Amino acid sequence: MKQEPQPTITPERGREASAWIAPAALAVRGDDKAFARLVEIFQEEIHRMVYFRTGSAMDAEDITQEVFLKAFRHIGRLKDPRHLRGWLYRIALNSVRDHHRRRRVRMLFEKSARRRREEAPVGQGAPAAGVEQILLRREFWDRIRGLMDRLSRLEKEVFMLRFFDELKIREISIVLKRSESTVKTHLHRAIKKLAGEHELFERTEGS
Amino acid sequence: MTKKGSYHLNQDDLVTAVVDEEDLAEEVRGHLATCSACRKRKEILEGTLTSLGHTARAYVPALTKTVRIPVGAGRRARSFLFPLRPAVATALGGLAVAVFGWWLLGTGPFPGTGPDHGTPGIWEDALTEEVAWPAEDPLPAVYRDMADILTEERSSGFMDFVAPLPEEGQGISEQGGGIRSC
Ligand SMILES: [Zn+2]
Repeated sequence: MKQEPQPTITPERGREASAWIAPAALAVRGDDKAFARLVEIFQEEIHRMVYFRTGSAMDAEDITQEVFLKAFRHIGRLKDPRHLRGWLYRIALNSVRDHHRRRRVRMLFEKSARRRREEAPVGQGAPAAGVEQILLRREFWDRIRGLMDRLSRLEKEVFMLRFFDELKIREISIVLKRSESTVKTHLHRAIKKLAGEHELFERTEGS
Repeated sequence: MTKKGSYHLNQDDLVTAVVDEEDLAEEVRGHLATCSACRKRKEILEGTLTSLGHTARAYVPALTKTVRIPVGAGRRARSFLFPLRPAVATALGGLAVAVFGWWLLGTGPFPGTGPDHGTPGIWEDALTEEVAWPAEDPLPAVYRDMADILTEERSSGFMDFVAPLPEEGQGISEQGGGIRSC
């Protein structure tokens, strides 16, 4: 008997499209309350997505504000409300890219950018964390950085959108404007690279 | 797996199973459905990747200020051509430009305009994109290019920032004008 394929990713919270398609459709038609509802639904995950790509709690909050402001201004142009989530991520990804561009330019003119520890946000927005927690967090991000360094830009982005941001393949294809098969190809490569050089396959082989 | 029912999934198949099980060859999928060892391997790989994401999300500081849209934030009006399919809208737009050109100059259409080229600023932002998003890069093009070059010089592009870097500059975040002044 064929087993039902298990979902690759289990969505957290109310991420099912049924929770936001109706407000998205209303917001597209100019309903501000519906847009406010969308903000409630998506602000945390967009903030998280931006944080993954900036590593700064403060910047992530500013960029998240910026993302929703842009979305508010332009949502009337969203043709298909079902694409809202991918559309938001796309705005966020562009905002992150712009942020890094600006940051690069500023660094051109600032001879000594002040050094900052990743934990700088502690006390400025991040929950108070003990030293052990900070070390764990740093160790984790160091590990992630090491893993991501093995991937091409597109592989990284696809991998992160899939496993960190929990987007579906279809949504990733909207965000990146690539076909689903291209997304799958890059995801496949990314997982294989990571697993090939990592203990992932060792663990799976050993079982 | 090369023979029906004979071999366990190889690494490629295993990864394909994690990406999208539907993409496996039918016989491989059949094997996976019945072989507890292969299913276990798939679940371990999938679980490892999923837990990586879980941990990453757990290490994100909470959002301290909820998003607020200022009262004065204006929506961009939807173009009256918006509901049309992009090709039709572009064609109609091109026709309008041509007619306007004839009317204005009493000559033929402007060189280089028409449905295929469109008029930047009119067609690009609203009519030709399935998923339109605002391209509001505040940098002059020359700086943008410079930033891109610098980014490319780094080993792995802007996604380097996937993980917080200790050397990151401080206070570089953009302050969106009036975003907080609700
Ligand atoms: Zn097997």
